Amino acid sequence: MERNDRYSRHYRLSGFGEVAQTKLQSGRVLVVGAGGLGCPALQYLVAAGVGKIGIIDHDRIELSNLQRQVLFGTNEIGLYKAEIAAAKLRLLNPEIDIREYVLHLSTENAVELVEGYDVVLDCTDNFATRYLLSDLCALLGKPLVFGAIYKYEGQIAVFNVADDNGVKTTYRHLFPLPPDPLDAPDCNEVGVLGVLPGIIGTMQATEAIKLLTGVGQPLCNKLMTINLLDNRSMVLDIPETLSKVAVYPTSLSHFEAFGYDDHCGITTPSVHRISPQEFMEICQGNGILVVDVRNVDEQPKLPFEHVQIPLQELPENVEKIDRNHVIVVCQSGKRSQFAGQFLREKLGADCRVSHLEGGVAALEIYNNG
Amino acid sequence: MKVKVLTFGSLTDILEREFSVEAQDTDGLTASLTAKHAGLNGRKFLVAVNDTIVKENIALKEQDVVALMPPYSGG
Repeated sequence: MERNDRYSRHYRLSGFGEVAQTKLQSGRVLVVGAGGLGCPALQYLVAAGVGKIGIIDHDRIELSNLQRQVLFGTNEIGLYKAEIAAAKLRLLNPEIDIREYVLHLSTENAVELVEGYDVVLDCTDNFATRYLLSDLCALLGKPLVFGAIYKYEGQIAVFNVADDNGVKTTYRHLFPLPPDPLDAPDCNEVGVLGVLPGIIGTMQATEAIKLLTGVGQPLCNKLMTINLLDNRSMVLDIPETLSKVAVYPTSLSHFEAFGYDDHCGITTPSVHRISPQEFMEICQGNGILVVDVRNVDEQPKLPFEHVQIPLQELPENVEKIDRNHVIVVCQSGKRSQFAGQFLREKLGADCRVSHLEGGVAALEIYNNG
Repeated sequence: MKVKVLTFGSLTDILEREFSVEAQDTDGLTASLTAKHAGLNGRKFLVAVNDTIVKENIALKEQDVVALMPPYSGG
């Protein structure tokens, strides 16, 4: 293989050298989450020369991210993290095949995404995605480098990789069932020291490099914890036995039907039903966007400000919905209910989604009666 | 048996980060802590004795170190 001066310090490094570098260059790593953990992990994986890197994140950059998500600039607020991360990383190392996926990892898309990579990094910020990834990687036998943070403390582990005794463990060997959401506050609620994800994410990248190259001893079946306040760290052994209380999918078809939000106690806010009377009172209010999902030729037209996105065109036009309360309208209330549920899943929890019960037909009767 | 207990993550909001306590076994330890601290009720956390995570109740020895660690969600 032709020597690339970019990696000369790896070539010179005893115990690493050209052999390990070549392995890195044929490695494929999927980083799920381009936030606090994902940013530093991505930077070092790309710099190190991992051949192919996937980035999954559906979030946009916010000002409050910049204290720790070091790939992003103030001028990029509002843009998609996966896209900006990919663009920055291509500048850092144009030799890497970088694939960005602006999407929410789900049981529908995860299998195909994960199958295309050799190692997966869990850099997510929620339990539903953590359990989803852990269960899927266990089913596929895919090495998973787990990282998680809380205030000043971090956890790191490598799952689904056999140790010298042939034993493999998963996140469920640590925590067989998710906690009550109220018992496990995230960084948004309790804050986090900005450098903490920098350290933990970099350690995740280190574990991935060790897995790909075979250099060193990765944290298989071990949970490492670090507390930055007193610099104390611990490495706990994870035993092979899985608690009997664990509930998890045992096949890919079971996985695809598994409801991780329900499993993690996340109740999806329902689509609110609005009566014609209530609709007339609030439909022109501040912050409210009325979305007519009927086809353009359907009558009568709505006699006030609204946007028209026929139901079948809704998936490509979600970004047009930029207010925090959406009221979906159709002729009878059927399509609006369906569209409301679709938008409920696509828009964040901050967005209220309602639909007009009985549709424009009921509105006509109300206005004429 | 007198054992040393180390706590992590959100459990440090409820318990001291490090303390000594009398306990016969791990179930007895977590039950007595939960009886004293209502905030532990229903909490999910792992229990490790001398750096090994335990899945079932095990007897404790003098000077054992017990770690109580909840899951972290942040990323």
